[in-house]
Amino acid sequence: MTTSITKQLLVIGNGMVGQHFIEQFLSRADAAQWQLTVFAGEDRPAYDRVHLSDYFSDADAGKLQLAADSFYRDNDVSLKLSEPVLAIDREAKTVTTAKARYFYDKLVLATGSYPFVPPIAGNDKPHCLVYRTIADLEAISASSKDAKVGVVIGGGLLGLEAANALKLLGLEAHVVEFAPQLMPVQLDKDGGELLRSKIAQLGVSVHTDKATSSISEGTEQRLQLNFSDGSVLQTDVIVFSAGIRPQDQPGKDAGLEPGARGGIVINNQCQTSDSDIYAIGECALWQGQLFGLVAPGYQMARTAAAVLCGDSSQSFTGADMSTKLKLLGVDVGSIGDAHGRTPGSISLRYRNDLAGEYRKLVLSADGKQLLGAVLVGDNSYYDTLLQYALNGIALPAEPQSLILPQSNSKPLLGPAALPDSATLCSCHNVSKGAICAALDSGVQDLAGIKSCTKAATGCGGCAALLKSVVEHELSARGVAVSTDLCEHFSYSRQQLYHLVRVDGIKTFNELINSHGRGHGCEICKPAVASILASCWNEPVLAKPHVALQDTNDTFLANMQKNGTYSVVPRIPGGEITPAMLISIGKVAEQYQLYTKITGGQRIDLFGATLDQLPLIWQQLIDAGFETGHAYGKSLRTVKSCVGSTWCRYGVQDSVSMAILLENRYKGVRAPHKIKMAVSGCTRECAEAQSKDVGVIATENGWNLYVCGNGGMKPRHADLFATDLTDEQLLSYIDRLLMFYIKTADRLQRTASWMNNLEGGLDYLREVIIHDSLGLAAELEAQMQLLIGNYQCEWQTVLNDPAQRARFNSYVNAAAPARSEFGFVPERGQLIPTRQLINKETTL
Amino acid sequence: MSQLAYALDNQPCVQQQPVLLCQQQDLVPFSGVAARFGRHAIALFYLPGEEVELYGVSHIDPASGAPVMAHGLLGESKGEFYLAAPLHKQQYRLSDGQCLSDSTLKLQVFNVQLQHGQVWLLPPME
Ligand SMILES: Cc1cc2nc3c(=O)[nH]c(=O)nc-3n(C[C@H](O)[C@H](O)[C@H](O)COP(=O)(O)OP(=O)(O)OC[C@H]3O[C@@H](n4cnc5c(N)ncnc54)[C@H](O)[C@@H]3O)c2cc1C
Ligand code: SF4
Repeated sequence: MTTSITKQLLVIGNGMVGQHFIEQFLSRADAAQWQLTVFAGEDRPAYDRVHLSDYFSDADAGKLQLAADSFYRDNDVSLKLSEPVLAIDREAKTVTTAKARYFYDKLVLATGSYPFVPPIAGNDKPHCLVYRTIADLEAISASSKDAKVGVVIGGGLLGLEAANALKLLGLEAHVVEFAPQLMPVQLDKDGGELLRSKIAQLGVSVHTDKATSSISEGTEQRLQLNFSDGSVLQTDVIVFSAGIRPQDQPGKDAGLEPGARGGIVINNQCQTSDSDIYAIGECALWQGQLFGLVAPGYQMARTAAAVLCGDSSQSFTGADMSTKLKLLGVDVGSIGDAHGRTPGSISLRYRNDLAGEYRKLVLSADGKQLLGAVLVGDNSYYDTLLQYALNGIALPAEPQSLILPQSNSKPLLGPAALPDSATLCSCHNVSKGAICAALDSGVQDLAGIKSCTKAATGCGGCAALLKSVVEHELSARGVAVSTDLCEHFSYSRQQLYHLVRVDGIKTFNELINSHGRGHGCEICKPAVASILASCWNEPVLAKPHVALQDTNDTFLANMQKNGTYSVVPRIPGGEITPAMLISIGKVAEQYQLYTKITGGQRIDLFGATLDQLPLIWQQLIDAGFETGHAYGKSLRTVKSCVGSTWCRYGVQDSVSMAILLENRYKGVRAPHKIKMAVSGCTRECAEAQSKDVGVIATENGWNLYVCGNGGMKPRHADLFATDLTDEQLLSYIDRLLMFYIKTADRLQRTASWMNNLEGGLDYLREVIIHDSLGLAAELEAQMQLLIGNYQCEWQTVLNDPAQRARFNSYVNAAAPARSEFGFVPERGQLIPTRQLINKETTL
Repeated sequence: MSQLAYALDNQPCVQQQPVLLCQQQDLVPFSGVAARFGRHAIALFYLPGEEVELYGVSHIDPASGAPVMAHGLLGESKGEFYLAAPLHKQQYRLSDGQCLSDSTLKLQVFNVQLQHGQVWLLPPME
């Protein structure tokens, strides 16, 4: 065997850019000649710092991790956690850590930045923290435990994100900014002012033009900020977010050329003044510029990987620093020359204090090119503007049309108008041309495009644009995406819903005779049954509908794996009297039903035979229960915490609201199941943000969250509207649910419904809150009809001997003994026999 | 020969005499009901007005062994009728019991007939 000499490649820093470098490097064939060793300053593998704040919404650091633990093992990358490099010896070509010395042939610095803490007396007291790493967030979280007030020093992008985090932790949040406005780097004065007023409305106090001179012990709170103008502010927690500084330490000490204000100088190949040492990411200085964003860092990582492998086709030639984000729910965007510093540039502004929107365009002297833009309040203009600016597309004759509100639709730069060279995803540098090439090579859909080009998998900012490009290009290639429900109906669910309503259709037969063909199937029958129920709310077991229902709807119970059924009575809001609880227990005991408490705060009874169902339900109804619709595509439960009734933190009566909601929407049939929850304060004990409809109490009313879910693909609900009165809350939910029922696809949960709505959450807000389609009154009236027609389906069945007869297991024999279904005892209850079929049975 | 955990089984029905199962009014149009004959359970699907008005197949789900097939949904594709199993939605052709989505699964078919308002189980056809 020949031994090939492996060369040593060392990477210092396993942050976002360092990680991207490893992945880019490994994807090259030459990588096999190298042994890769990575030194991490932190105690965990690289994670997504851009989405760091998500840690506060689900406290799961693991979800942020960029590559699985196995990635390093499988690729033979030696990852040294918590082993920072202390010194580099360029003569000997070694690096030193607290543990050992390592030789290198080539070295990559990806050490990122550290937060700048201004030299203020007292800045090292306990509870004075920063916002950069998961460890920082853990410290902030711990420090907030017994705290009331939190202050962020610094009103830039990260400072506002930190303020939001403090708010989420239940603190009274303040932001202190030295400059006269918020986000001075990205926004102009007007934009900064508007942002300030919007953020103040959200309950974050903003103090601009304030220089902190010292931090001392507090009297009311733990600490006191003393400002140069003599005023003071007391707080329990301080988070410094006064900018970042490049972490150039080991490199500078080794004599690599530094920048005047820090950073390690690199050339277009990302090499430092020592050609065996590369620097990438936030620690690198290119032509006097530092780049505090991931996209430029990723470009450097790609370049360095290419150069190291002898590929000279790549170079780093600067990067776009435009940003689009949502800060405390407020849209903010900044593109290119936002301040209009280009000589001769002209600006156009739109400012609407009523709607809380501000937009500015910076144009070239001849008015033909877009140089920069500022957006506050509505980012739907961003994608189009960015494309104009990045690709130098000639502006329309009246460029103001790009920022003036339009009654019908946004001025979209259609996907067709984009040149092939247009960069859609700047994180992964994917152009429109690359998307087209992937489609030409046989990729058929958006998911495929994302996985093969990685577009829209970085910061995600380009997702909407990517979708429209892919759809446009697919249809240009003649790929039609069929929305037919099944072979019997050439309509989507939404179209069928419309037909049923407009033609006043009341039965499946009417519909298939007038608008379909054949006899129907297990796809269209239940879908149409659900549409009919959503429109007219007649009992699902009324004669014309029986043959349409899924088994669960036919027997108003969920069929289990051994052919028995479960029984789930409604327990609105999870509140139950001891007497009711005892009566459930009695029924379960009498019928030997396996009993389990569910996640939805109610009780499931398993193992009833078909023949037993009416007997069991008769007893439950006599005891005052109703059906829980656990079998239906309809409202399941409204989970609640005890709220202000008992909890010392509660600010509203969450239980009463949950019961009100559950009783209002019970029985309403929808395209899929619907879950809701109500929490009594921001501590969110009812987990409302994982529900289709989540309600969280505030001092002033209710915050409404929509379109979340748990399950296989969990999704956090989006904040939809804040500080609602009871009436507003009900009317928004009425409209939202009805709009969902009308427009969603079969078996589509609210989350994917919203994701697929053109315009997403913003569009939904327009329709539901601002009534942009003029539908609000109709939606509410239709919901009222459904609520008015509610009946307990089990009560209806028990009252009708013909329907009751459907619950006989056999038309010609007595009810089968329960033992026929195969049960075995476990932990004091009966469960199904593990295997019903002996595998030898030949069928 | 192996046994199911049930009092029912899946063995071929070799009955040589006609047996009265139930009355026509026990059937539910375009849906299923179950009837018992000894150790057999038969799912009866009634399609009034169609070329074949009555189908009989085993009530036992070949995939799970549970007695549930009469509660599956009746479907039609290109003029052929099938039954969607209620637990895992496999499709079985009613005319011969063949599973359309998994060639290793098959439902036993019973020779049933509707005569003068009565439902009869007849000896198996050759
Ligand atoms: C809260 C927050 C929100 C952000 N939002 C956005 C956004 O929306 N869009 C955007 O583009 N960017 C955003 N950023 C910036 C983005 O996260 C950074 O640009 C990116 O992480 C830079 O990557 P990096 O690898 O250069 O540095 P880092 O991710 O900081 O990684 C550097 C790593 O090197 C380690 N290290 C340092 N010195 C040594 C040593 N001597 N030995 C070993 N290891 C060492 C550090 O511990 C660190 O883990 C955000 C940043 C934060 C903090
Ligand atoms: S969410 Fe409910 S239970 Fe939790 S702290 Fe707030 S009021 Fe109390």
